[in-house]
Amino acid sequence: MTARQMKLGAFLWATGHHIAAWRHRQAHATAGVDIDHYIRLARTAEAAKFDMLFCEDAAGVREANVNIASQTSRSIGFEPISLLAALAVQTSHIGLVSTASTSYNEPYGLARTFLSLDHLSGGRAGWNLVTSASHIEAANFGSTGLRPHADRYERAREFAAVVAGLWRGAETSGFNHEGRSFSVRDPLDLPRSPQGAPVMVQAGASDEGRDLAARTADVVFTAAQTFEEAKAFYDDLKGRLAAYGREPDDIKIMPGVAPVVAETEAEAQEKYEELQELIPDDVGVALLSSYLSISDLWRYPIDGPLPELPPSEGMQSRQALVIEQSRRDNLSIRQLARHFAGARGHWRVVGTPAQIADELEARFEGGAADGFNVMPSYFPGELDAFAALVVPELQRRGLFRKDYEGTTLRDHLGLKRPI
Amino acid sequence: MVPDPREAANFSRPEGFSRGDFRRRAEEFIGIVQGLWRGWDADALLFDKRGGRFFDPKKMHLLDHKGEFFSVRGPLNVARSPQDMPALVISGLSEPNMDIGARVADVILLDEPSVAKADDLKRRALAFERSPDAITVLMNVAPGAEMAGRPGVIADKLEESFRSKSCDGFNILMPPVLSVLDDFVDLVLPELRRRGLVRQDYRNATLRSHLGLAGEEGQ
Ligand SMILES: Cc1cc2nc3c(=O)[nH]c(=O)nc-3n(C[C@H](O)[C@H](O)[C@H](O)COP(=O)(O)O)c2cc1C
Repeated sequence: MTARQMKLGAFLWATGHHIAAWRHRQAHATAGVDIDHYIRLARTAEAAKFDMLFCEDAAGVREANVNIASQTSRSIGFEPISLLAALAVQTSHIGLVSTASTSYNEPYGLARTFLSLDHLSGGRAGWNLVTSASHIEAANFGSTGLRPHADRYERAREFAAVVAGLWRGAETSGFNHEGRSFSVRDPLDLPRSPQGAPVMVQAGASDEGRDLAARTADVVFTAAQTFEEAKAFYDDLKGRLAAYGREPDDIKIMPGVAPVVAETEAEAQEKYEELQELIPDDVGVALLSSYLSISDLWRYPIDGPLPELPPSEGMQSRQALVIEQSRRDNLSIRQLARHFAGARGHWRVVGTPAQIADELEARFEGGAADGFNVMPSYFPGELDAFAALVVPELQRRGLFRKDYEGTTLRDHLGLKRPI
Repeated sequence: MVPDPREAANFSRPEGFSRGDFRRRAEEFIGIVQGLWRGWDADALLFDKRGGRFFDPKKMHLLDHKGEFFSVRGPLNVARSPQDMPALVISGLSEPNMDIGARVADVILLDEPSVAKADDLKRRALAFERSPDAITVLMNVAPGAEMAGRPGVIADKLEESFRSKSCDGFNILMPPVLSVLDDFVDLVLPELRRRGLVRQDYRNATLRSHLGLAGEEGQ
């Protein structure tokens, strides 16, 4: 039995996770319309033995203010499931995880799409369940606006149960569901998944989000700035599993990490500053507003503190995290905006390969993470750097695999096959 | 474009759709899809790193659709298609749906050779102020087992339908049997090429270009 090793996801996002990534001189600005770019990233991640590629999604543009949006690269890109289907045939081992919403899909269609991706990749697919917190998306699906948080999660619970049932029942003849939001009469017209069922990932960290994860998820993606936050989340979620008859190891908790790595600390710091300098103030403030679910943050003095805020109907977990950080470090709106714009609320580490490995090791060994979803600041450079510098350091320490143990995503993640 | 109650029952609609609803919904649906495909102008993306301008805000368009069945603000978060817009193919058109096809489709698939039907579609297209060439009519044909012996016979049949103007080309219904595809490619296609009826090579890399559909160059 080898020692426990960390799981690593390569979170792909067109030009990079830093909000100003696309402006970096070495960033591939046309990423969102260039499949060859993605093939290259997928091969880099697979050669480095990452567990999975991970894609976010939104059923709409990310920013309503077109002048803000036009200064970022986030308004266009490939639809992630079709992107992953293309990458599936260019790779052989790496897992393929896409985000998809329970609010704007039907379970039968979504279960079928992911099971199909799972078959065509030989058992490498995963679904990251989200409930979608943005008003912009809501406006593409009717005139009634964003549904309240509790309603979205109620729908998500039923949705997840139907999908799991369809995946499990793929071979048998009887599947039938009549529920509050959905009804399904037939099983899927596909055989059972090569890995038992596609992997269920979940992002959503409110109380209801955690509860749903404890019930159904195999992997949880989360945002945590400090060790204490990460540890508290980890312990809380693992503690919820027993109530659903599950073991702590049945769920892998993988917080996001946004590394900036270079051979020396000074170089890494310089690289980070260079990116930060590229963030326009109005873009930073707009992004911060979206995390706080308020629309008029720009009315407040940019060098003053955050105003008092009403509770969010959107991402409660992210709002709490931003407020907590602003109080703890006594940050102005501008400082907060820059801080969060950079890593979009995720944990940022800047340093040498050894320093970054130290940080990851501390959270991994300290019981705050089972692995990490790596969010390179710009592509392809920062993924290349992580693969070339940090991965070998983790391998040297015995913290990460040198080769794949199996062929399916469940094999990589050490997950049981569902019965 | 025919409601199948079995499918509806898997999508939380055990009651299905009425025919009228289904048709109006399909029409509204297609309009939205094509509208969303036009949400970004082809030259909207600037990639101007120094100036910090990723796209030109004037070249992104909201859809702002509010209809009987759907309400969609748009735009899509996917760039303009390399072929201007994906091709819209419609098959199984019943008589009451012919107008929808003539108004919005790029390709219409028919099951039987019919000069009258092809003419009718093109006439209807004209009535919607579309060029008759804007629609490519393809006929579904099953290649059959006799290819190996008589590739010329199949080529004759295809040529006849084509020359009589009952269609602009064919949609070959390939069974999932490799040898049938191989026979078609190795025996029938060379014969059609010899007669000058099928391209020797692709002129371009998009589907619209293969089909000779508008939208490729000029918009
Ligand atoms: C780390 C993290 C990543 C997320 N990624 C996405 C995403 O890619 N797309 C999306 O629509 N929602 C995403 N969400 C939003 C959640 O699915 C959910 O809709 C929203 O956060 C409300 O849930 P919560 O209050 O439980 O966090 C993410 C949430 C978290 C915490």
